[in-house]
Amino acid sequence: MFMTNNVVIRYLSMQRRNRVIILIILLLALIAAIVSAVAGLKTIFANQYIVKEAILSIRITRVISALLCGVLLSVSGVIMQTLLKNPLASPYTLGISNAAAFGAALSILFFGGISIPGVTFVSAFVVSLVGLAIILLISSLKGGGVESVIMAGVVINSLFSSGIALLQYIADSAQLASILFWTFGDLGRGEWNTLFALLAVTVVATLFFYSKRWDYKALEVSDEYARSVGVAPIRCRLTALVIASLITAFTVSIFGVIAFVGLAVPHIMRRVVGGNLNYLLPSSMFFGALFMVICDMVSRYLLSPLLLPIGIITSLVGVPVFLIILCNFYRR
Amino acid sequence: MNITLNSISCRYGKRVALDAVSCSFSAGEMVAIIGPNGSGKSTMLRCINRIMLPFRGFVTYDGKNLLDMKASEVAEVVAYVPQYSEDDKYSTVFDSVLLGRKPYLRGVPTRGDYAKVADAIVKMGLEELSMRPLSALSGGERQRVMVARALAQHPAVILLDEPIASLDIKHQLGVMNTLRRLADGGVTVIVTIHDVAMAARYCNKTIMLKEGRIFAIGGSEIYTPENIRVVYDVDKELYELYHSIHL
Repeated sequence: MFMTNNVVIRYLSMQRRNRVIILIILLLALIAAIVSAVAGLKTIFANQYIVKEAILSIRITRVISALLCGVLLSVSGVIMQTLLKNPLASPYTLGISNAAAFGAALSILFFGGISIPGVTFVSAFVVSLVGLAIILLISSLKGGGVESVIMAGVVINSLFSSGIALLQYIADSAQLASILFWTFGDLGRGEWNTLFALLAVTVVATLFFYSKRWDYKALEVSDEYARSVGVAPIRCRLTALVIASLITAFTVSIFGVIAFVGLAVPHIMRRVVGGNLNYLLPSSMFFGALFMVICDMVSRYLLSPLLLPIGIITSLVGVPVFLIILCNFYRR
Repeated sequence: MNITLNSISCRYGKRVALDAVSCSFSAGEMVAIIGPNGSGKSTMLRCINRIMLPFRGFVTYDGKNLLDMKASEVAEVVAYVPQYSEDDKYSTVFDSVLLGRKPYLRGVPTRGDYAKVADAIVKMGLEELSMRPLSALSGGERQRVMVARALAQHPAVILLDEPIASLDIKHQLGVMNTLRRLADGGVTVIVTIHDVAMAARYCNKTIMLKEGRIFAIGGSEIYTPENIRVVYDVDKELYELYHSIHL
């Protein structure tokens, strides 16, 4: 009895530690968001010709974009790595990002592109769904197992990469510049109506994933074990992957390709709070948001007044952080 | 809980893995399923647990057809210990065992769930390792974690697929003693095992499988040199050498 109590007490203490870590990350993300929203405003407002409300609105939508984008890409990464049992899995593994980029390039070349509002988003999103449908078709023909999903993702990734290269080859210089600009990723594309939609997607998707966390942990052990505790493995895995892919497609269709967040954030948080999805999901969400807000500030101020694309910064900032954590882990 | 297999047949593609197998298991029995590789031991466990559906025959739990039971209902009754587990290596032992409470969890685990998990951890002698990540454990320790997870499920039936395969002698005896105590407490324990001596010592019933069919079923009286020779297809000398070491 004494030993049993002792084990429970130790677990509860670890639980408290993880909750404190999550709270700290959330607070840091909120502080970083406020700092990012107000930084430099005094200098800008000193100019009497500036419309303060417009500037504030641009800043706030940008910060909210960073927060939501970080949350969605990180959550998507956690789900993909858990369900595909692959440390290299990320929102890009299934080729959804490349499919969206291909859709955007298609719209730039043939449907008026960025000059017509919404066309690039619709085209990117629709092509992502086509990519997802092909993955589901191939994997369901092969039984819906982990390997079949990953292999189908690799095929789709290569297919759309080649498609993008082809479109870039036939594009004129102005179109090529637009395609490249779109694929770099830009948090400035978020408008209030799209952000409300993105917020709704974030809330629904994260609540769904959190409610299914025990099913995902069972699936991680093995499909056989999952069946033994009442989980239908193929249905559960494919539903989660479809939702993770949809939120990735939605995010990428608005902001463009933002690399590394979905891959690195879950890895970093696994080392901090462990593999229990109770803590891994919320901590990755908040750390993803914090990471994106910091990357956004770096992109604005690193070569100011030049605004660097966020997709480049996420890799530039993320890679060294990730490497340091990896090295420390292996040294330990 | 009484389980009956009524002439069940299973196949992987065209290969028949179990062929018209009929037998029954009673509450409090500890049953060993033995036989050479590919004889259908793991398949039999999978059928009992509805992980795999037989193409002929049916399984009943206390007279109720397994197919008429909900998946969650089965999960509350039967715990399964697979041969291998691919848990996230950053999960702690406690978190991994906590997964055994999944059939009962409605959202957040309660203090009662934690107490049952801790109890299972202590029973398997893992208390010192409870907060360690799985990556820091040996293969044998991980196997004990899998057994602890099944114990945390508080099942009426526990199915174990070669649970002592990678354990040292001390822990083999520890696991078998724990399973024996569970059986004595009324739990039906069904275990596939390669160690014939261990099966004979701890189990009150043995099913010998050969090529997907029951070759022999009964108590210790079926462990005859002739049965072992036929089932495992081994020479008499080899068998005697094996026995001289194990018994």
